[in-house]
Amino acid sequence: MTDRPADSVLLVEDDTHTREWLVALLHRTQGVDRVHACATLSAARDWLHEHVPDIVLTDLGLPDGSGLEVIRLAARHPACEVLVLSIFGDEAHVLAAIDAGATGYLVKDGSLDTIEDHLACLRSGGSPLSPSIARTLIRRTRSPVAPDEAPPLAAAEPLLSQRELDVLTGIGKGFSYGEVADMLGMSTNTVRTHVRNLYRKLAVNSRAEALYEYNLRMAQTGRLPIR
Amino acid sequence: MRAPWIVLGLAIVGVVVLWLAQPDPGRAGARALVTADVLEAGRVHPSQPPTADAAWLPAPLPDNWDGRRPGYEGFVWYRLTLPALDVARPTLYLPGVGMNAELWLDGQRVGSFGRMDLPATRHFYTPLLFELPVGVQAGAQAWLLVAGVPGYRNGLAPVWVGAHEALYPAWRWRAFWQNQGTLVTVVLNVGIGLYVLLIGLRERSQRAYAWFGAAVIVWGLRDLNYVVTEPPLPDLAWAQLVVVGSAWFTALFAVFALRFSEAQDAAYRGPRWLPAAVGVYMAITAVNFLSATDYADSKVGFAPLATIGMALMAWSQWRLMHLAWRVRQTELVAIAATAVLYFVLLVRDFGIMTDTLSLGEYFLRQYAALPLFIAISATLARRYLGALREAREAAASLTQRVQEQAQRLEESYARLRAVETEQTLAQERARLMGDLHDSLGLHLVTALRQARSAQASPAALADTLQDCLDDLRVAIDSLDFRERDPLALLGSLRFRMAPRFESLGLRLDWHVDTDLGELPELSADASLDLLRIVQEALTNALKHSGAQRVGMGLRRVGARLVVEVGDDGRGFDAASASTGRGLGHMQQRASRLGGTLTWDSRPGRTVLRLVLPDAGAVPTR
Repeated sequence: MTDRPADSVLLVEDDTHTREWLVALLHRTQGVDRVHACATLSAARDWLHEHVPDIVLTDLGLPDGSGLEVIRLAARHPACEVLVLSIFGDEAHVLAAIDAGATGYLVKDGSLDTIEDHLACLRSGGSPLSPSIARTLIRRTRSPVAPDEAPPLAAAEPLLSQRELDVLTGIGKGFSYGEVADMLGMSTNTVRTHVRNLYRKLAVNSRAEALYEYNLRMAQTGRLPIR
Repeated sequence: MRAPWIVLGLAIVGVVVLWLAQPDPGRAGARALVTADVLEAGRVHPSQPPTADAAWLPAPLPDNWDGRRPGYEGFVWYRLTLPALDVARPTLYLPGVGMNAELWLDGQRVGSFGRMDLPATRHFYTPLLFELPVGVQAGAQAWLLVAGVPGYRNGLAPVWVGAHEALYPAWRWRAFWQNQGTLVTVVLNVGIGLYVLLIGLRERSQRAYAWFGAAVIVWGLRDLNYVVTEPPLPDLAWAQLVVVGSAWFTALFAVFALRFSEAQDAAYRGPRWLPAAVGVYMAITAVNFLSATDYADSKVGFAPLATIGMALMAWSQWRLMHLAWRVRQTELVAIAATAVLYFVLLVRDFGIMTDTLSLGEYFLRQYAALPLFIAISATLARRYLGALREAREAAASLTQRVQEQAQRLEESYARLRAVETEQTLAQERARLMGDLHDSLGLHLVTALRQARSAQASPAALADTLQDCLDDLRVAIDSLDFRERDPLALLGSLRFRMAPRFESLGLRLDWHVDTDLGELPELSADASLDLLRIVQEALTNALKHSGAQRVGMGLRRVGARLVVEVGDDGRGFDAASASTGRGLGHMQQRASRLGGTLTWDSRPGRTVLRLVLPDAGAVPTR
């Protein structure tokens, strides 16, 4: 993305090795100008109080709180890309992060070596959408059975267009963007655009419900819910 | 228990008040005529008054036919000499005259009551009041023509003469208590009797009351004798039915007293022969009295049968008193007390009935019976209400017990569920640990060995570690309780594995039937088994086959789902040791799933096929 002004990046990661590795990686990445790294929620909060980064990378499990808090703070700025750092890209955490306002996630495995590609990919279409997340999204649009405080999604106006639903269905079955594009007779870029829109819509529209659903799932699997 | 005493006190006060309130014509200035001249007129209804020189005989009043002329049937003239009547409305009051009477004055009939032709209407218990013409002279003679039949206490009681206002209250008082009041007791008795009889018949435990109900009905019908003036039956038959009714009442009441005592007092056993004997008694009285052909015949057997009846009645009353003495319940004491009262008044009435010289008395037993009957009915009502209350309480306590049971059941279910959940979790944990031990653990050991070995390349190490990550992801995927149908599981697996294929420049094709129909939800265990089989097949194709294209597919054949992994590599030899062990593990997992795993391998085409069982047979959660 050479035509863009250089980005400033906020990295929130409590594991020292990972943080240092990522900082080094980001410094090598073209288009990244400044990198600020924090290890705690409070440090990130303080920093965000005075700065507006272009990109935020955050882990979810921080020693003094949840990374979702960082996502919410950063998501107040529409121009800011908020990415979750996830070990497996496991869906429960990623979904909660998306609902908090994240626009994508990065998987902390060897594939991050090419973080430049990832960032470019995020710019054009958000993170890859896993089948599991896609299916969760489909379920959510189909069943407006939500707690009282959450507005029913499919009530007045369907949240997703038919095309977006088709894309989601294809991804949900485990097909790649390219395969989905072939099946639906559209370009891979169009699929990416749909996916990006999906992230946006979901981040804006279903926070309360997603949090409820996430917490429900946490409770069912015996883990602590996110406040 | 103050209520019975209050009732008793009120009853006594009531009787005293009634006694004091009774109008006395003598005090009001009327005079009683206690003598008359009498002339028997035979069986033909006279249309003319007798002449003055007829064979009049002086007689004191009351003149009771049974005493003076037993068996006489027909008409009798009574001549009365009137005193000076200087009043506005001179009136003649006949408190006791039977059956019917006509009044003649100066050779003219001035009034009559009921039908005078034989058989005369039965007004033997009806007081009469005749107004006389104004200006009747002192010493004037009034003739009364009285019609009667034997056995009915016919005749003439002392006659009152005086002012209308002095006599009318006395007449009204007597008419009320003798006629209207008796009718009220009849209605009450039949009503009470029917009600009690129905309950006694329907409720086995209160069977004794059925006898009482029947007795009271008979009693009430029998008392119609006092108020029915023109019976629907021949006169004699009616009279005899009344007698039979008295006997039957006595008999039925005796059976009631017996059964009631037995029911109330567990220790009491009455004479076994009594009910049968009573039945015989009822039959004999019915046959004896109803077969009478005339009034004279009807007297036959009356004395012994009546004596037996009185004895039965005395026994019943004694029985009830004895019961009250033994059980000492307020209601039984009340029954005994009212029984004594009843019996005393019954004896009194019996004395009046058999007194062939007196006339014009009140009969009291129809009133005396009411307290007894009400006392007995009250016990039934109380028992009935008690039973109702018990039933209500029982229902309430039953509801409460059911609720408690339900709650206990719910609690034990909850415990069971908790235990089950715990067990499920424990099993899941054990399975996951076993799986991680076998897959991830093995790969980690390999990675460790590679890292320590000088020969192993970093690429090989990275490859092994990638295996570790894949193992872990698959294990995590199998835990998602909402992603347990084969399509979701395999779709996610494909998504996980695709980058590894792509990084090696291979293609991982993914074929899904467009219409898979209803997909079964697998259990966590089954999910992991399915994922591990396919993952193993994919990894083998990736690492060992040398294939360019690898495909996985999910389709439906009939009721079954078929999962296939194929490649265009060099194929494998199932007999070789390592391959064999790998296939063995996959076979194991497939049979745990309830499915079958087959393979077909030759150079250029290898297909591994897993057929899942019918949806209903897949091990689900």
